[in-house]
Amino acid sequence: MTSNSEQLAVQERVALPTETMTIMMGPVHPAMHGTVRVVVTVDGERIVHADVQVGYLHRGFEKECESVTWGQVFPYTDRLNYVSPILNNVGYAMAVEKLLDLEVPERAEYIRVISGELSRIGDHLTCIAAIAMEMGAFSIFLYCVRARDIVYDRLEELTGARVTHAFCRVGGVKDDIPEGWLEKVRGGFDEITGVIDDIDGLLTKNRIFLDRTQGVGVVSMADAISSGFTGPVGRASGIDYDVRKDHAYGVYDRLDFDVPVMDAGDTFCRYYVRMEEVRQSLRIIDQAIDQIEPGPVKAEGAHRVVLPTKNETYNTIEGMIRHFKLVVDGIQVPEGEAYTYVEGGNGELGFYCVSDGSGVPVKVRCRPPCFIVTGQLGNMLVGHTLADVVPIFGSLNMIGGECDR
Amino acid sequence: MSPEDKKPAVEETDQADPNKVRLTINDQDVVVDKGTNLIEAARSIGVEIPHFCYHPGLEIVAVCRQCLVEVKGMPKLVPGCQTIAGDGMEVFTASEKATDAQRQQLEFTLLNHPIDCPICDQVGECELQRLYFDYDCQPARHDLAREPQKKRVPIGPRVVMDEERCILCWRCIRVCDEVAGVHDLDLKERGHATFVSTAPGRSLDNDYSLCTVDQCPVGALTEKAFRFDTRAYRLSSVDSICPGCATGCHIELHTYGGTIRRTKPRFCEEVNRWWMCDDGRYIFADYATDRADSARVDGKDVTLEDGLAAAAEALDGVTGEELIVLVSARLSTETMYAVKQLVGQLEGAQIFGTGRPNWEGDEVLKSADRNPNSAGLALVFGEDLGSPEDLEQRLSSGTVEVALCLDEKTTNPDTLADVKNVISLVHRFAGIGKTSRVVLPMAAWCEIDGSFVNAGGQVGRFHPAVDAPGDALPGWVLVDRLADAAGKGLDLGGTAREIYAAASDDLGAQVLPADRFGPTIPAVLLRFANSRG
Repeated sequence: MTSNSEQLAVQERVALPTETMTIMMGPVHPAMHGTVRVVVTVDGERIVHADVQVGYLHRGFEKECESVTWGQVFPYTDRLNYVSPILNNVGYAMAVEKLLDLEVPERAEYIRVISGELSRIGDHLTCIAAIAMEMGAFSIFLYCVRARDIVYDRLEELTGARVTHAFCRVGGVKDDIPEGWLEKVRGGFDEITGVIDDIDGLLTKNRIFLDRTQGVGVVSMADAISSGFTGPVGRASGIDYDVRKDHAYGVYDRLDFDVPVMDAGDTFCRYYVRMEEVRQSLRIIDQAIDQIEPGPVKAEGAHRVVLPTKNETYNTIEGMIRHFKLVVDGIQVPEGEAYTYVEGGNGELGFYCVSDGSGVPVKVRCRPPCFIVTGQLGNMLVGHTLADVVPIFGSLNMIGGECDR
Repeated sequence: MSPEDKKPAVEETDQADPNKVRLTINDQDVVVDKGTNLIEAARSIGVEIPHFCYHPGLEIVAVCRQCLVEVKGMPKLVPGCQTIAGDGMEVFTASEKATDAQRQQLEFTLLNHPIDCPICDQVGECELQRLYFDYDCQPARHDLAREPQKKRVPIGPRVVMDEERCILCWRCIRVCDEVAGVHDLDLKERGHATFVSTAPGRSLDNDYSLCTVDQCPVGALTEKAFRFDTRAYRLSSVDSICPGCATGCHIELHTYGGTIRRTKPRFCEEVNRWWMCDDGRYIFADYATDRADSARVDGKDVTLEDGLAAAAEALDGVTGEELIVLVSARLSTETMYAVKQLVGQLEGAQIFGTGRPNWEGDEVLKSADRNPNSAGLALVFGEDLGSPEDLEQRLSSGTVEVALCLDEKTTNPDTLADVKNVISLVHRFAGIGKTSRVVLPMAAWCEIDGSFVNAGGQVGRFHPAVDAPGDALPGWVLVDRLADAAGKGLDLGGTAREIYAAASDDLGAQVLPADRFGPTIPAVLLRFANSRG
């Protein structure tokens, strides 16, 4: 970032004296993701200062969680990073399971991995689509959306909802996978890989794309570390950190995959890391499909946590009472606090939950990875032209719902 | 002082006291009064022994067998309700044997229980739901058809019985026997065919019949008026005092969606314990409709300001000789105290205490005096208070120009027919509120913060449960505004608590103890109040 400013200072010395101008980008702007405002001060085309203002989208996620039962929080987590809801579901479920000291059945863990990685593919494809489209490559957007639709179709078949799945439950997942679903998932690989290869061929060595992305919005590794960057944006700056690898949760330790890391820290690296991660996610799903065994998908014997089946609920009074108590009073989570973190679409997604022993959370705090990344956007923009705002911002993949402050 | 230093001292005093017994419950030392049963002994150290039939206010019958606990040295499990704590007893409430028994008992209880939770009024405050979830929580082990029994049996004018849901704890029978003192309910048949029914030739029609609904641990007995009205777990509970009579039973008002839905008694050792009469349950309904929601002058609705101005004008230049003040014993102590301040400014005005006429009380809870704050009235005004006979005499003298009436039930409108200006502060346009020249709308007891002094001299605090309709304001606020309009500033506090404190200072803390106003308790949502059923 300093190099950008120095460059600017040199240019200023030779240029004619000009006046600065303040331009509002957002909160409602066709090229902005979510409702965020960037107040840019430009000197001609060059940005001399950028003030990023989040908070235009505020649902009060954390406060909402304090008035619902532990189980009712899941739909809210869906709406954090709404492009990869299952990853959020898993992160929150793990926090409650940690408080309950509850073991999740293996099959449920595999389903979480498969559906979660599908979500991640959807997330990355969305981001790649946006970066390219905002620089005029509209076909790329359509290619990505076509591939993402395969992901959405599979998730819809699994969860019943296309976008906000609310699929995880404390102690497992909502349902077992439908018959023949795993084969269908595998059947979509070729098309997704094909799209990624096409995009790779169209963009990665494309002079125009490289000119617009290489050396643009650079974040050094030191800056990235001191700002707390994680995920694809952190890895593009050389931080070799992936929660799935470094703090393996679920069954990730049984799966073989690589963590792509690049050093330049520019928009291009952030694009390319995501491309590679899509391929790695497919690898993970492929192995998970091989390894998954039949079994229960909800913690067995945890009658005070897991809802009874519909058959039990409507035909036995025991099931009816359990269902009622779990829905109305909520899962009685023992007093305590827990922090769990998973690799979300944008980096380390953490949930810090505090319980007072009742059915309602005292606090659910979310560590949103893209909020931290967006915090550095202002510094990244300085020195670049106004036209660079959109690709740089796009490559951070800020999701308004997750940035909810 | 370290705990080690303290312990022997306690032991010595306990051993010296012949009225105490020492025992251990789950390896924890407990010291209780002689004669305490195991359920209460365990409760004193925060250990719950699950039970259905036991109730601290009723005779012990030990029929539900839910409270079985293990006592060292006893060959069989013993019921915690019927077993009196003895010296040196070692009780285990959560041992394998006891837990097994509790589980199996719940399994038996649920064997024929209908799957009614979705349509049951008790749901959310059901003792069976709570105990099953906390102490068993295992899926059913059988797939047998339930034995159907009668539903919707109208056993009394206010109560409906569902025989399928009944778990045969006999609490309702004992409530009738021991609280109301009538044997309205009885058991019919024997063995597995047993069911609760009305005693021959009787119906559940005593004055305390709804206490059976309160005490029913399941939804077998439900209140007709509340049936299918609101899910119990959606209600918010507000602590209040019953305004029905001078007993001043402690009650909870349960609200949902801005209206009161039902009344439940609240435990108070000195006043009503766990009970209240059926009449007190529906008083809130009287204040729910047809209320005075705006000021009226000469029969026309006006703004509150205009109403106050008209009242002030009527009071202007009136001497104490020409003015009488009628105060009802249904008002809160704070309103009465505000009236006292106002009258202090109107030289020589005479005050008369009135209220609702007496009814037939009973020996249980119902007082013959139907006004909740007669004692407060006497305390606040003391010797200044004129009786109804004095009022008659005063009116016959013909000098009365203005009468200020607080509450529509102060007197028969005919009595004040000759008075030129009648100003009344009322809850509804009825009684004196119909005939007065100036009418000001007053909030009811369930809408304001305040206190009553009951016949026993105990101060009871009530909280606002719902909003007052329209322009209606608490009595003391109206009195204060009226004084302002008449140019006689009262030095009243801004809250009921401040007025109570001032009254306590003024009248003496021995009659109005400052701490009896109590802390303000926010409304409790029953959903998360951990099944208080």
